[in-house]
Order: sequence, then structure tokens, then C-alpha cells
Amino acid sequence: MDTPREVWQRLRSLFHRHELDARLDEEIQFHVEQQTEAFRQAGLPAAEARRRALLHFGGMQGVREEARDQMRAAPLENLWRDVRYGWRGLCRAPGFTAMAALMLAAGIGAATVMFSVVHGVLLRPLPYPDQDRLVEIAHHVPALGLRQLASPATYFGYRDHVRAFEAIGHWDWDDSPVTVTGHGQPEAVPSAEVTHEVLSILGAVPILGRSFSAADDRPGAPPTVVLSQRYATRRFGAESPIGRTLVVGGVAREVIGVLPDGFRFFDADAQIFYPLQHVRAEANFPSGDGRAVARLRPGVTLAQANADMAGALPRLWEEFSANHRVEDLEYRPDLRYLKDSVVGDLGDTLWLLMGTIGLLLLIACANVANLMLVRTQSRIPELILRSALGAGRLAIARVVFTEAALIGVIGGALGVGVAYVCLPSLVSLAADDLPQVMAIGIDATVLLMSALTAALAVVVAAGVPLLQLSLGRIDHAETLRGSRSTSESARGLRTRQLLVVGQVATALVLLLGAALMVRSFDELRRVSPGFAEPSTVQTFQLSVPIAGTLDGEAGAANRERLLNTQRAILERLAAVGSVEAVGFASGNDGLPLDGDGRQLSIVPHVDGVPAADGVSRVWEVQNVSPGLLETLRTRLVAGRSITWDDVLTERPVMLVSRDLARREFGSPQAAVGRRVSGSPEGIAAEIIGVVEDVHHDGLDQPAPHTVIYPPRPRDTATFVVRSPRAGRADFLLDVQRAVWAVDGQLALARPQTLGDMYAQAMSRATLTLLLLSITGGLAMLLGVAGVYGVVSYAVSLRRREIGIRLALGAHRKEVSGMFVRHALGLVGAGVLLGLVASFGLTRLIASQLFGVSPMDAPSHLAVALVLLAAASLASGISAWRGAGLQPSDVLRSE
Amino acid sequence: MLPSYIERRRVARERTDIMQGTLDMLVLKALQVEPMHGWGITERIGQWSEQAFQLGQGTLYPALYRLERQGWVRSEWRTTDNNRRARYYSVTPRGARHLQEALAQYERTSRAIRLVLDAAVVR
Repeated sequence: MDTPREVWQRLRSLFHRHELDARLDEEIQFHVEQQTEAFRQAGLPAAEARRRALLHFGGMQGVREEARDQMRAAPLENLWRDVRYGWRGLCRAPGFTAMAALMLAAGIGAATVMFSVVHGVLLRPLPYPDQDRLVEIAHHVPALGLRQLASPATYFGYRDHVRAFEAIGHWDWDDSPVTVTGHGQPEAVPSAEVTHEVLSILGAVPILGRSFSAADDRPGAPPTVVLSQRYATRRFGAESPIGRTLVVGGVAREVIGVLPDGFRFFDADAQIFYPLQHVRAEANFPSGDGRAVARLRPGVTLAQANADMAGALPRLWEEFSANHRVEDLEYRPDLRYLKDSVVGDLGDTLWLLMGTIGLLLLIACANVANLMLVRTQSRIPELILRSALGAGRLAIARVVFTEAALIGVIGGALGVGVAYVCLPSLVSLAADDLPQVMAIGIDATVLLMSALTAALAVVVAAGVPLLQLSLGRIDHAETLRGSRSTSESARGLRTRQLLVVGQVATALVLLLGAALMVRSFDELRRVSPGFAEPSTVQTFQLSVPIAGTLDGEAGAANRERLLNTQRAILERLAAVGSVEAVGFASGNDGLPLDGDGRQLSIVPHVDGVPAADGVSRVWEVQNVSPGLLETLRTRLVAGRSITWDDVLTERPVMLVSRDLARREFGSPQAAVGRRVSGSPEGIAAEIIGVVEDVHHDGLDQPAPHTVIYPPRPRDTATFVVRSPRAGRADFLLDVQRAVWAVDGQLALARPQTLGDMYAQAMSRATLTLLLLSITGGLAMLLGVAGVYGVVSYAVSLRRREIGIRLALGAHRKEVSGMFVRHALGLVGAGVLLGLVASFGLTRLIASQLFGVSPMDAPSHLAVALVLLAAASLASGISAWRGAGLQPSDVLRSE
Repeated sequence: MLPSYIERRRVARERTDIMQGTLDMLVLKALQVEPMHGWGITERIGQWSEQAFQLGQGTLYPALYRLERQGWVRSEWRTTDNNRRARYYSVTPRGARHLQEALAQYERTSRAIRLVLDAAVVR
């Protein structure tokens, strides 16, 4: 074995090849001349002396080779020589090379994209320190069948009594986006209210100033605010914002800190943070308000933490629950790691897509293997010659392998390049679904995976022909003489047929997935969302900063001012050209499909009588202005809608959704006029009307039972404006001007059309459909190409027979029909195999489907027929062309 | 068949190793006297032994290249007395050390063999 020093010498010699050769030649020449001279001086004639000298020297070529072996890096040079030879061979067959490389590029490119997404979203940890100890507080309430997150009560209670938590913090986004004034233009900024622990749990260390402390959380403490670096730079430029004052939502706050640029607050793009000041005495349990995040102590498992929380629950009931009757409600802590919380059920979709890409890759590999098989078949005479000249099995394998490796390198590089170019646009397409807190890109790990995949593909592509070669017994003599061994070709055909059956089966599975997704998508689109023509509804959020409280007696004046402002805005908006209807919903979560909502959990008392079964209902709550439902064109099924008269006289009225009316009262008509309250002594609201069901939570979820009240006093409201010009920049400008006409300090936030929100709700299904359709289409193309190839090959093998048949009078149609029937047999086998496989596999896609069963018979049938039809067309064309030769040509060439 | 072919290769290589070792010692010993070119080494070793060149004088050159690669000799272009250019080889300190060790090893082995042979005869 060579020492490292020797290896280095060898490598160096690579660069001095010519010099070494020249030196060797000169030395040999010198030696022979000296020996010749010696013989001459011994008395021999010149010619004889030279002859003897050469004899004494020995085999010149052998010496040269031996010497070269000693000095040079032979294995490396052999490799280089193999590569050069393989490259020349590929260049001589550009069609084959291009096809094979492109197929491989398609498979590897798709795989690289999926690796990046899966790696970035599922495998990489969250960008927070100790992220494996971060959990989100959540509870499972089996009786109501829902998941409740956190609330101020749970924050206080768990903070005090749960040992398993190193720290726990609570945050909310009800007032996002806030209007910020006081320095430059007023603007609406996404914000988050946080208790002081939250930022430190997420490891956000301010680059300027300080973060929040317990003192900031106390109600009545001097108001403070922390900014993100992006916002601070935009607002204050290069100067330090520490100590400056910003008016945030009508409250003057002192800027105490700036967070680093790389910090991401979960998936929200919050730019400013201010303290969430809970009043302990007002906390209520159970309720759901905001979210809580905690850091576990080192070594504590989820189960232990859950048990700890369960142990603290009795204290929560005791301190925070006004209604002890609910105590027998089973309330189970159900912690989730923060990573799982952020990723959600995206994991299922991603693994599914990964699986389909894997299948596509398989098909691409099979095709390349097919191509390599054909190529190797045609090179058998050359390979036999090599073997006869002394090449061992390894040497011959190297020849095939080098070509496959070259194609692998070209295809792989091309695939990765295409993936690199396409990834940003694909990610932005799916932006609604992919958590923004994770960075998705092609990094070292992804490249490694792609390289491994390419290597695997090369092994398969080279392995199949080599396996087939080695299994055969090639008669050297016969082949060298030039006659084609029929048994060898027949074996080649069998292998290709097997490959095609596999390809067709895989293509069927992928096409089936695509077909099911198409039907699923169709079903989703058919769901009546509860509003009409969403693309002409413009929405935006607006925060009217009111200094002072909005609650109780003290807030009455403020409430009136708020309502007047909002009403004035509505009037101005209605006056804008081409506007057909306007309205608003209180809060930033009042619209359907906005990804948020409020729920009410009560035991309803109807006309003073509690519900017979005593079970708590969970109802979706909306607070809307008169005009909102009309703007959205949510149909009124019975009774009447809310009017301004109701609002101004503060009449206790409400609307309910149709399903709620049916469930509680039997029919929509029966619901009108009934009075509903949450307790015997509470204020009862009269049901004045029933509206159709609206899919608040998503089109694939059932529409929740909804109760609709008049507006409630909150700074932020979501406005809706119906106009054919919705979404256009000039329209938005008109809207903004209308708002400014009421108050120049107000700023619009989050302008989007309801159509955008609808599209967002469909985005996951759209993305899955798109990807599955593309892979299904590609799979079918590749599979059909495989069928075409096999039939051409079969035809070429039996040229002689075809010629004879044609000469004997057979019609072209009969002859080609032979091959078509045979091909259909193959395809049929593939389809059957695929159907069998899909029975097991389609269960995996079930989570993505809506309104369609994985066993959906029409889809199965349709896909099988399409594949059969495409394959028969391909085989028909191929066989027809093959059978179109002149019998005389064939017979003459024998 | 493949198996016997592989065997043949292995046996051949062993034989080469023994010959290699002997040739190395001779070349290094020759160069220790004075640096010289390949032809000169041939002459000198030719005086000492005829075994080394069973296969031809040319086999010296691969050996010289190997020794150079292993760092036991170094070479440079020089002009001979006849104004010809020739590559001269000389022993390096490492090479000298290796020669000492090889000679010592050779002594030990030949002594052991002699002992065995003597013992066999004495019986």
C-alpha cells in the first residue's frame, strides 16, 4: 500500500506526464547507446552490437509500462480514460443521451424540490434556542369535541402551580393590525400583545435596549413597546428609537427595545410588540383567548408535563371558575411541541407529495434503464470483443457503468439547476400553506440527498442491463462472427416487458391519485360557502384608536364615538363610485375564511328555560354592522336582518345560522322570535332572523353553528365593500381617500378581496392537485413511451417473420394487430397490478380528499380506461410503422 | 474460470516481491558507493550478480522510479564525461537507513536458514 507521501507523488505526476515520458525515453535511449558502445568496443560490428544491446535490455514496451505504473497514478488515469471514452460514446448517440439525461433531470429535479421543502419544513428545527423544549398549551375537551388553547386563567394558574414549566407566556393578536401614529405617516402595523415571558422563551435578545419585564405586565404600568428591526429602520432610519414615543392604537408608548432582524414571531409577521396586561381578578376559566407557549424543564416529557397540568386544574376551577356546574366537564391537558403546532397537518400532505415524487422518480429510472438496456444490447459485439481481448467482468461493467454515471452527472446537475431556479416561485405559490418561519432553500443536506438519489438512479440504470448481461450465456464465437443470438435478444425483450409492466402499474397509481384529487377539488368548489361572488368584495382592516376605556359606564362616550366614526366611514365608502354595498364586522376575526374566529360556549336558555339536555354548545360568534350580510350576499332564510335602529337603541337582537335553527328549534321559522341567553338571569337576545350557513373554518370543514350580534366595541374592525372594481389599485386609493375624509390619522391594513381569501382556503387543495396532476401526467407520458419502445423493439426482433408474413399475403393490419394485442396484454397486466397496489396505497391519500372515497369506482375505471387507450394508441402506431416495411427489403438483407 | 486465474495472479505477485527486495538492496548498495546513471548501475551490479537481470536490463528502470517515489533515492540531470546528458541517481538519508534495516533483516533470515540447514545435516 502506498504511504500518503507516495500518493502525493503519484498525484503530482499527473501534471508532469509528458515530462516523465520524455525523461524515460531519454534514459532508455542513453542506456541502449551505452550498451551498444560497450559491445562495439568488444569487437562486434555496429548493427550486431545494437541488436545485442536491445536484446539485453529486454521488452521495451513492457519496461515503459512498468516504469509508468510506478510513477503514475494509474487508477486515476484509467478512470479519466474511461470517462473520455464514455463521453465520446455518448456524443455519438445524442438522441439517447438527451432523452436519458432529460428523464433523469425531471426525476431528480422534482425530488430536489421536495427534499428542500420537506427538509426545510419538517426536518429542520424551529429557529429558537432549545426549540425541542418549547410547547404550546392546549386542552382537549372530549364532551364538546374541541381543542381549546389557552386563556389568561390558564396562564396565571399554570405559571403558579406547574413545576414542569421553566417559563410560560401568553400572547394575543386581537388588536392586530394597530394604527401607529406619532412619528411620520400613520400606518397599520401587524402587532402582537405578549406577556413578558414570551419573547425570552423564544430566545429573542434585543439588539438595542431591553425586552419586557414583569413590571411591564402590571396593569397601569407605563406603556412600553418593542419593535422589530425592520420596522424600526423603516420608521426611524439610522437613529436609535430607544426612548422615543409611538402612539400605538391610541396609547402613547415608549420604545424600550429593538429585536434582531432574523427573529420570527411564529408564523405571524408581527412587527411591534406590547405588553399583554391581564387583570387576574377578571380571568375566567374555562375560556379560550389567545395562545400560550412554555419551555419545559430539561428532561421533562410531554406526558409528565400533561400530568402536572392536570394536577393543577382543580386550583384553576377553584380560583377562576364562576360556574362550578361545569366542573364535571372533562378537561384534559394536551400539550404539543411547538414545531408540531407550527407545521400542523402539513406534514401529511408533504409526505404524500414526497411519495408521489418518489414513484415518479422510479418511473424515470425505469425508462432510463430501458434506454440503457437497448444501448447495451446494441453494443454486445463490442463488449464481446473486449472480453475476448482480456477484459474481465469488472472491466466490462466499468464501461457500462461509466456511461450511466456520466448520464447521471449530467441529468443530476440539470435537475438540481432547474430545481434551484424554480424553487423560489414554487415556494411563493404555496406561500399560504408553508409556514413562513421556516426557511426553504437548497442547502448542503438537500444537495447530498439529491446526489445520493442520482447515484441510486445510476446504479439502477446500469444495474439492469448488467444483470441481464451476466445472467445470459453469450456465445463469443457466434457473436464475433456477426450473427445475432436470438436467445439473448429474447431475454432483453423479456426484461423490457417486465419494466414496462412496472411502469404502467406505477403510472396507474399516480394517475389515480391525480384523478381523486381532481374530483376532490371539484367537490370543494361545489361547496356553497355562504357568500356570493367573492372576487368583487374588497375587505380591509381598520383600527380606530380610542384613548381610554370602551367598557362600562365610563366608556359609554367612547363607544359612541367609535360607532359614529365607523358609521361615517361606511357612509363615505358607500359614496365611492361603483360601490354597491358596505358593512363591517367587529374585530379582526369576523369574516369567513380569514383563518380565525371566536367561539362561545354556553348552555342556552331559551325563553328562560335551560336546554333540556344541559349540554354546553359551542357556537361561532360574529358581531356585524347592518349591511355586512347584504354585502357578502349571505342569504336570509327567515325573519329580518339587523338595522341601525337596533344598533342605536342597543336592542338585544341576534341572528342564527340555519343549521343551528334546525338543531335547536326544528326549523328556521320556529327560531324567529325566541329569546336566548346564557343563564337564567342574563340578558336574553331575541332571534330576529335566520341566515344560511357560512363556512367560516374552511370549505372542507362543516359550517359551524353561528350566532350573529350587533357590533361590539373594539378598536379594530374588518370592513367589506362590494364593487366590480374590487382589488384594483385605483379602487383602493378611492377607498383610502374615503377613510381619510373621516379621519386623516387612519390607515388601511391587509387589503384583500374575499376572492383572495377564498383562493387561500383552497390553496392547499390547489397545490396538491397541481403537483399530483403534473406527476400523473408525466408518469403516463413516460409509461406510454415505454410501451411504444417495447413494441418497436419486439417488431425489430421479428423483422424477418414480418417480412415473410407480408410476402405471403398478410395485411399490414393483421400483422400490426399481433403486436398490439401482445402489448395490450402487457398493459392490462400493468393496469391490474396497479389497481391491486392502489387498494393499499390510496388509503394514504385519504387525508387529502374531500367528498370522495379513496375507493371511488368511477375514478378507478376512468384512469384504467385512459391508460389502456393511450397505450393501445402508442402500440398501434409503433406496430403499424414496424409492419410497414417492404417484404423484399427484409428478405434480401438476410 | 475466474477462480484459478485469480490464484495465478497472486502467486506471480509474491515472486515479484522477493525479487523486488533483492534488487532494491543491490541498487541502493551500488548508489552508496557513488551516484550514477542507470547504465552505470547496470554495469556495477552486473559485476556482482547476474541473477538480478533475468528478465532484462530494462527492469532496472521501473525499480529506480519506484525507489524515487518511495523517497529512497533522488535523481537529477547531469552531463557525463562525454558531454552527454544523463539522469544521475543518489541515495537519500532515508534510503541509507532503509538499506541498513534491509541488510540486517537479510542477515537474520539467512542465519536462521543456515541454522536450520546445519541442524538438518548434523543429524
